[in-house]
Amino acid sequence: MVYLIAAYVVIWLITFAFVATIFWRQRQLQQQVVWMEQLLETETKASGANETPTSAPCS
Amino acid sequence: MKHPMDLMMGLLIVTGLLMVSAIVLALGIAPDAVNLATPTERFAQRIFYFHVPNWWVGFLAYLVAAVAGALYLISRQERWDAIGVSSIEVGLTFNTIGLVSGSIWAKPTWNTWWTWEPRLTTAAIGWLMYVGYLMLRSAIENPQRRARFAAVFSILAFLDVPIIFLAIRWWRTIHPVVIGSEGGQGVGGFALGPTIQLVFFFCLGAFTLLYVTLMLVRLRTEFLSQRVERLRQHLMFR
Repeated sequence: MVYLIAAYVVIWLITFAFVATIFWRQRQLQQQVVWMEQLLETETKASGANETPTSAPCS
Repeated sequence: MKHPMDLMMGLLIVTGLLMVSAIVLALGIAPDAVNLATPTERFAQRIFYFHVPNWWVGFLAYLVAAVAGALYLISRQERWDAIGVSSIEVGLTFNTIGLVSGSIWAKPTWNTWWTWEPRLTTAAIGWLMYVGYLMLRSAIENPQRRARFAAVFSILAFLDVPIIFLAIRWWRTIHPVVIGSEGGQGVGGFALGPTIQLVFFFCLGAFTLLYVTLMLVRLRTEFLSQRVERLRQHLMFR
């Protein structure tokens, strides 16, 4: 009986540990995606502002 | 049309229900194997309902990875690499469970945790090869090169799978041949009666669905990882 319980405990421990690792990695990656997209957006806006024409229109 | 997240949640619920049913059937409904001498052996025999499906799913995962590897080499599309690595990670998890549960079953049946007989040795070699696959991936930085090497490795590593399966049929071994043998040869072997077969095939189905579910969840992580990689490249070389 002890061996049966031990085997089933090990089976489910490893499975749940794997699932927990996947979800943890997903959360980390999602945070990285959000951070990188914000960085890209900020830099695109900044470079867009720098590229505005400096010469005044002729009157 | 249903949202993909709704479908995923539905799949998770169905898989969970099937796994709970598999536990109930394996521990409560399946009869004792008739030709095992001691109660300890009869209790340990119930590990069979999860031990063999774990190996089946491991082999299936390695087959999927080998096919994905071949398709990557033909098409050079990133998604095949994602499918390959996801499948091998899931397969390796199931294989680890297979090795550990087999070792726990071996103790009351063979009076040892481990023995270097053909099935266990080829299984250990296979496990090490797939650990090597993950190590190889982490050692290569260039994504295209990594995917190419990994694809070739996954095809070569799969050659061990039929050897693991046939080892107990080719060579004299302590490991029982339960499937396809009358009465089960080897130490701790047993006959597959009708109810045992029914429960066994139910568990095989439940574990196959668990593989599909875990594969989809893991694949999502891999696609996210590829997106992070692309964004990083874009930020570095803009």
